[in-house]
Amino acid sequence: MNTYTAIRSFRFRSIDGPALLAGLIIAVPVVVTLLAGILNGGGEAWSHIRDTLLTGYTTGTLGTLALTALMTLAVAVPAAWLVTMYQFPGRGLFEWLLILPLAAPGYVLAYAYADLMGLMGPFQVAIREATGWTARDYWFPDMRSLPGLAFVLTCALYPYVYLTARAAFVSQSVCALEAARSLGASSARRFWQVALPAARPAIAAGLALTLMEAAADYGAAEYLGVPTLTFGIVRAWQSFGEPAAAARLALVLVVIVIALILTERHTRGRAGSQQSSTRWRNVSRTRLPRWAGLGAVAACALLFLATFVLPMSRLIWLVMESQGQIAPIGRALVNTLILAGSGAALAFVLAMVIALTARQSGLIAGFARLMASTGYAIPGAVLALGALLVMGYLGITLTGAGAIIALAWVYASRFTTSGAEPMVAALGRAPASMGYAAESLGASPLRRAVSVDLPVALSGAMAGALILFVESLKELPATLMLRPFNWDTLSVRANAYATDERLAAAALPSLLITLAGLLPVILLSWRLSHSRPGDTQ
Amino acid sequence: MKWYVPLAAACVFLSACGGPSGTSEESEAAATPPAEPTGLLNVYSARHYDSDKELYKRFEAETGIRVRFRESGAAELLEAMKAEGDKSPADVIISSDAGTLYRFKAAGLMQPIESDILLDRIPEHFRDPDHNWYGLAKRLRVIVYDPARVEPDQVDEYADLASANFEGEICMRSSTNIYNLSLMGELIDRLGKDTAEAWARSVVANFARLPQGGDTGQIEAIAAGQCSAALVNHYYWVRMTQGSDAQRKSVEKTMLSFPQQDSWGAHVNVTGAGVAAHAPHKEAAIQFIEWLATEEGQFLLTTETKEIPLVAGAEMPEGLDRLPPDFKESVFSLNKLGENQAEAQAIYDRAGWN
Amino acid sequence: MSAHLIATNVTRRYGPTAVVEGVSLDLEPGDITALLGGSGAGKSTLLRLFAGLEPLDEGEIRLGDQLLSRPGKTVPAEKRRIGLIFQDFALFPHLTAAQNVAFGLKSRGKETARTIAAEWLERLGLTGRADAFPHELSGGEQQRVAIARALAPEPAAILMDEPFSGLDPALRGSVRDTALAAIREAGIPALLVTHDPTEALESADCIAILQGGCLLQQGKAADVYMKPESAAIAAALGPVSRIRAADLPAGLAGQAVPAGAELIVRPEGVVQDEGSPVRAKVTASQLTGPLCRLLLDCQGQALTALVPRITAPKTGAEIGIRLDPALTFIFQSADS
Repeated sequence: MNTYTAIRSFRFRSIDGPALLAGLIIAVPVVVTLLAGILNGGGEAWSHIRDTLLTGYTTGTLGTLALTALMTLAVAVPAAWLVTMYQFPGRGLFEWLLILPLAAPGYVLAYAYADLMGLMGPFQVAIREATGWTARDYWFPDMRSLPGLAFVLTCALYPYVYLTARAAFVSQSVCALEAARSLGASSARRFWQVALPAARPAIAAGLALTLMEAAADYGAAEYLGVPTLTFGIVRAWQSFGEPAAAARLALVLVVIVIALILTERHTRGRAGSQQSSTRWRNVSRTRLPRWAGLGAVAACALLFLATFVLPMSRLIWLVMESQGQIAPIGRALVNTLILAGSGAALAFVLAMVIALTARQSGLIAGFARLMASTGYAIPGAVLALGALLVMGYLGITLTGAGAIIALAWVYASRFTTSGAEPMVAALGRAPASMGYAAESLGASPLRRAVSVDLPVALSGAMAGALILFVESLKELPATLMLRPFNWDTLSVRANAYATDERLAAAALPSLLITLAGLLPVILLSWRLSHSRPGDTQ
Repeated sequence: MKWYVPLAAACVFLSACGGPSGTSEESEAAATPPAEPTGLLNVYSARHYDSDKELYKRFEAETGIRVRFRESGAAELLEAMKAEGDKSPADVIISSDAGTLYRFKAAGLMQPIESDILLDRIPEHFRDPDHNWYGLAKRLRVIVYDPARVEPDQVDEYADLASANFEGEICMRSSTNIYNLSLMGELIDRLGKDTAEAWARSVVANFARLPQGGDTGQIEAIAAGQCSAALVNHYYWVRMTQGSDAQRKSVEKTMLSFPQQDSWGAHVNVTGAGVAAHAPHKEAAIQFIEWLATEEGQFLLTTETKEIPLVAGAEMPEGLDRLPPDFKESVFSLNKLGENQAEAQAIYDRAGWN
Repeated sequence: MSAHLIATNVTRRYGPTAVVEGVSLDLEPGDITALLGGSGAGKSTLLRLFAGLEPLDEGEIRLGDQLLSRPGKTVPAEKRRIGLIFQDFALFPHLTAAQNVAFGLKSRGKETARTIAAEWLERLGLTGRADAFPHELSGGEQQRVAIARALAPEPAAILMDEPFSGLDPALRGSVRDTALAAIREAGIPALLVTHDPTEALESADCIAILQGGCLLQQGKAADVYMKPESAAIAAALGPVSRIRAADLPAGLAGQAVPAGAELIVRPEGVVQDEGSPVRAKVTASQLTGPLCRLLLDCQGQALTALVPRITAPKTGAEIGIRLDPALTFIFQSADS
């Protein structure tokens, strides 16, 4: 941008006020936490954490991220390739079934898998009963380990990469693949050297999302006993009572997240990703021969079973086995609806403002968008810390309305970006010329936003609202830290019961959370199956 | 067969969510108080047992004081109360760890109360010398072991767990767990920091697996043969003797050893309560704590948890007869558990005990 | 010397409908054969059958002696050494121009591949664009890279699917000339699928006309244009005026037209001749560059003529006309 346009676009416009306010609301918790981390010194606890724990936390987080990345890529990309390029029995069904694991948060899978694969789980008990061995006579994968955590997070998060890779494969230039064939490239070379590199930016974007979620995970890491930075943040605050030390750890985590984002940006590089194609032809799927087809069915079924069916059936079994002896959760359900609902409501308004500025150029709108995107990569625990500090400075007690506001604020800060996404996408489907036409008719940016873009964005609003609500409902650490007097949510209950070794009691809220999580996922897969490649830009 | 599973699951969901209105659970202890509530009591509790809801309900029924409660982790309650400052609605603070009670006290979140009933009923070493908090039920952190592999005299001291004989034989839960922190708090005081740290390092060297799970998990690991000794609170073991078939099967393969019987006695800790510094309903708060020290209160407090009542003559919860009839417990200033908590954590961290 | 690429009686069905039916086509090395037809005529399918991207249901495809396709057996595309060029260029977006060209040269070793790629880029006037990524290239440049990529591995034949229709009309001519020159030089059979008769006539040595999955006529471009075998073929190669024998203005034909037949004349076959007794009224006169298109009314029969602009009459004028027999064709009417 040259100086002239920079100065020109620095004019303050009518839409900039709301945008800036929304960006501020979202960014403040992160910024406050980070400032506290830099300015407050970290206290005595920090020197201890730095000397004895920081290395473990950092290697824990980095190791988990690396392993999760590897496992996710190894699972999600081939799965996406299989369902996009080949025809085999049940392909259409698997295409969307494989998205479903996105419904369950990592901590829910952690509860289920730690139980399933644990010493007292059905597999190990069966082994011991069948052989008469003791636990030390055989090897069995240990879920309560870093690889176990990476496995559970992969199960919960691989659909991000599956989705982006699938979208890239579906929209790739079929002609490029055929050209590669005509140039003598084998199917393996076509995958590795044509399809995969072309899809690389999309895969990297999905992977970045996966890893941000993995870095933000608290519940699974805590339950599986793997020290990570997010776990350390919550612990620094809880055990050491040192928000400043927690904020220091948050700094380290944020550096890692920023490095992730920069790496993702870097993979885009100069090389283009998708060819702008003038003609669209659906991918013609190669029909797999009998045995290969059965292999494909088995692979997809195994993936779906392992990531969703098996853990969910374990939880259902736990609920059924307890025969109504489970702690009732009606009140937690109501609390969840109210808290997630108010969080989603605030986030929805902010998301709307952010989505409307997505079409506006200019420094201020850009700055507002930048601020708005900060919260989304940051663990809820860190944001909760920031909200706590701010409420403290303002002298607002964290009870009743104050706590609800603080929690809604954190939800909004964390999830607005995800909620704005379908609205931005809806706007993207409307031609930009519509906006220009409005401006050429003399509409101010604000008026353009309200009268032209808003109705269009609203078509994506339902999806946005649903995402906001469900994400808020699944959130654990911030809810744990900020929920008001007397207000346990489903996620808090699940966590409390699970850490209290009452897994049967944890199973019911866990299942309800997953059930709620299914709604936006099903909506998403519906949108996928009803959109054709070439529809979106 | 196929339709059966989802249908059954749906039924369970419905019955659990809808529930009969009489079993209102977390928030209001009673759906329909017997009379117009004559007062209000806000309880901040770091315990989470369903029996506590019953307890609040009974207190409501007897006194007409409406109980509202917030259950959360001790650290969260502490932070929340700090944030709330003098506007905090908290009246009573309940925690299942004396060290935590001390931290509330040290943070200025409690106030001393004078109660002859409590002074009379609660033994001196189970309450704060400054009357900020009062212990109400006790628990012992003891060694659970596999009698098939370990002789009782091999586990009659905490120090035994650090013995080279136990290489690859020890299971432990995380050091961040308050029970482990409080045990270390006492060991620091009894042995000195350096010896306590050397003990922790040696125990870590003996780990059969990384620290994981809860106390029940350690007992199950021993029963499954993964390791042969661990530290647990006595009541987890007792509860398992009354648990599911699988749990009973597991627990019967193990035994408890009460350590230090020839020296200072087994490590003991309490569930206790204190009155919040800015309690809006101080009278009700004192009344509630005193009620917890009655026979009925003691029973309700311990019947599900299998802790041991502190008040002489209180009825013992069912199943405690599985413990040795007579054992020596440590007499020790419990506030030190809190004072040493940060040091205890630091020692564990340095020792590599996650 | 390169081999012929020959399709014999090729049929391809999608379900019950035959998209390509009984097509026999002989592609001669060194010649560019235009496959002309409207949308849905089966052009692309025939190309894909040649390429080995689809199996055929009947007939066979050979490259010289080598059998490429017969029912139940298809030599896969990657083993055929047949180059493909697409309308959307289909460049690999993550590879530079030079890397795109070198893609098919894997067996030649890195250094050789790089040298060959550079040579091809130079031949197609792309020196200096070697390190550009496809999205950094113009449409014309992209298509030249695609052509270089297809030709670099020295394929046995080359197939082009509407290769120039994605280009800016201003660019089209020059890109086409460069591209086709390179292809002719390769001396291999080349198939150019197009829907544009002008392009077919301008670019190709041979023209094959496909309609409804059936091949109507194959031959040298001039032959097909000058000697169409049916009214449909004549119409496929450009605008014509079609006049039934019964409606024929008196004296216009200059030859006997059997009853029930149809007379077909190309616009340039309608010649302005003031000496002619046949008169027509100019209902419209449209300038089309150097020529002028006249819409004529000749005894109630509409006719189109193309005349030099300089001598073009004005609208409303009455002129004498005659037909050029070389551009006038008489067929038995299909519906008679």
